[in-house]
Amino acid sequence: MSDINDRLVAADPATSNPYQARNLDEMISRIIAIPSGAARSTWWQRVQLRVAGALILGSLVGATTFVIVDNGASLPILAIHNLAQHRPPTFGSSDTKQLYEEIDFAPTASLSTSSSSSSSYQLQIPLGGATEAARVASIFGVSGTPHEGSNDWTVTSASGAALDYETTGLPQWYYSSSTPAIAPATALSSTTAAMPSHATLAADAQGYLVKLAYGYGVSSPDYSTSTTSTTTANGAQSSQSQEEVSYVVTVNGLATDQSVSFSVDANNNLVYAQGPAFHVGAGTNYPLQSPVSGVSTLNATERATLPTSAGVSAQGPPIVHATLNSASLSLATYQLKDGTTWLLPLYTYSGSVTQSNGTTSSGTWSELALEPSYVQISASVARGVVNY
Amino acid sequence: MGAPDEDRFARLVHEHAGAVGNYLRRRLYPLSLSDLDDLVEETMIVVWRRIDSVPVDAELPWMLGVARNVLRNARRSKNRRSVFEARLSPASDDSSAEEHVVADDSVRTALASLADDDREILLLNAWDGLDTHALGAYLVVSTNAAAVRLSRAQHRFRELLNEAQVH
Repeated sequence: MSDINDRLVAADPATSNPYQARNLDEMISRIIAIPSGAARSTWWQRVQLRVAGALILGSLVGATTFVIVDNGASLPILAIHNLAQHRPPTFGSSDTKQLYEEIDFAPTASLSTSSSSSSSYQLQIPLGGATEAARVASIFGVSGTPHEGSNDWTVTSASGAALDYETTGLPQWYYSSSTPAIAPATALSSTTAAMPSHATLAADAQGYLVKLAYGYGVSSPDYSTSTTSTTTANGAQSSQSQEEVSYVVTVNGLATDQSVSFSVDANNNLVYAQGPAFHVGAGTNYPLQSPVSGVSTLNATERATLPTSAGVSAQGPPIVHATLNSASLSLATYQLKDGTTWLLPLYTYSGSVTQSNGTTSSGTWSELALEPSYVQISASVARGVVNY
Repeated sequence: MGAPDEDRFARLVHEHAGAVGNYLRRRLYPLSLSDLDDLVEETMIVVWRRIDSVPVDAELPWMLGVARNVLRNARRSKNRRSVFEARLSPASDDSSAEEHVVADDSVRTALASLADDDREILLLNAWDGLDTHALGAYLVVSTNAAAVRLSRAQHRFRELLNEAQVH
């Protein structure tokens, strides 16, 4: 078998480009500095940091309770079960933060101390995954019988076009005009063809959104052109340029953490599309904490979710200081303990971080804007760690 | 967690981080190289959490098994479009990475035609250097069973490679 092994070894991508380990001693110190039970995945940490402060939530309290507001009406307390895991937020990254650092957040005078209110929305999910998959598929010209997967329904036409309707969390639909023969495409750097104009693509997108009839709005179009290379079944490479527009999904003018996108080829044929499947009911007006109060909540969740116990190390994690100078309001998807999915108001703060070595950088952090007495969140984090 | 555990963990990292990194590097697609360090550290975090479970006679195969699970989980999380397209692909998401990075057309075609299980054991042997004992530990089968599977995979690969070179 030596001839075959020689061919395989010659094809080994790690032979020409082997893994270069970074500082292993630093990694070892970092890992053993936390109790084994508290060791969280770095992958999870990155997701967690994106929602910053980690409104991250395990199992929660059971029965619905109510808070009586001034006018005598009552509002149900929102018992958050977990973050819907369909996609990371499009806002709210805090890449400036290093793992296992603790951030001390401080508001500037520019942040408002005034409380207000804003609507929260219970989302209406289409009933019947197979029915909805078939409906969306027909809009994109995909005809076939929906086949059930573990968490989705797939409709595939004879031409290879496919529609996947994912049913976990907030349902999402994905359309692809073709089925890759072996591997997904890889991006190339240059465009090889003249592409449809932005106006043409926008009109295409609006046409599909009308047919989908979910009723949500879109804003902030982001256009991009890419050329991809796909490996076919016989090993050949084929290239195709695509023009994509991606929108932020909006509800009553507020941006959400959802997006919808459409890609067309040089001939303006739709090649890919994706988006969420939900309808929005009437909103329920909830009191919000002020942006300044939200900073206090941000600090509280920071203390509650990072491994800061005395047993971690003699000094504890390094503390860095973040100054927050603006806050914007948007809507983020949450799943409640009763199984319903909601869009809840979220503050996204912008500010600067001063590291222990004196260097500064900018960052954004997010925190649920609802007045905390209307929210029940478990202190324990139940997801994110993969058990092997 | 006492010092012996820390010492053993440090030794495992120093001895095997390179092999774990190369294992992930070979199967990274559609993730990017910028994810590689995080995936290695992710694997090592699991090793630390499960330090008492690492078999003394099969440390590397056990760690590669963890790396495999870390990689699968990361792929699911990383890019919805890639995941979607990978799911549509006839080949599984485990196989596409190896096929995609191979430059030798005949080898790539033969690998693409190989069954997932055959491809996995073939490349674990040829690329990751696992012998039949280590393959048995990785696949949780006996050494003899691993030897039989490897031999069968090599035989099938040779046939497919010959076919690919004829066409």
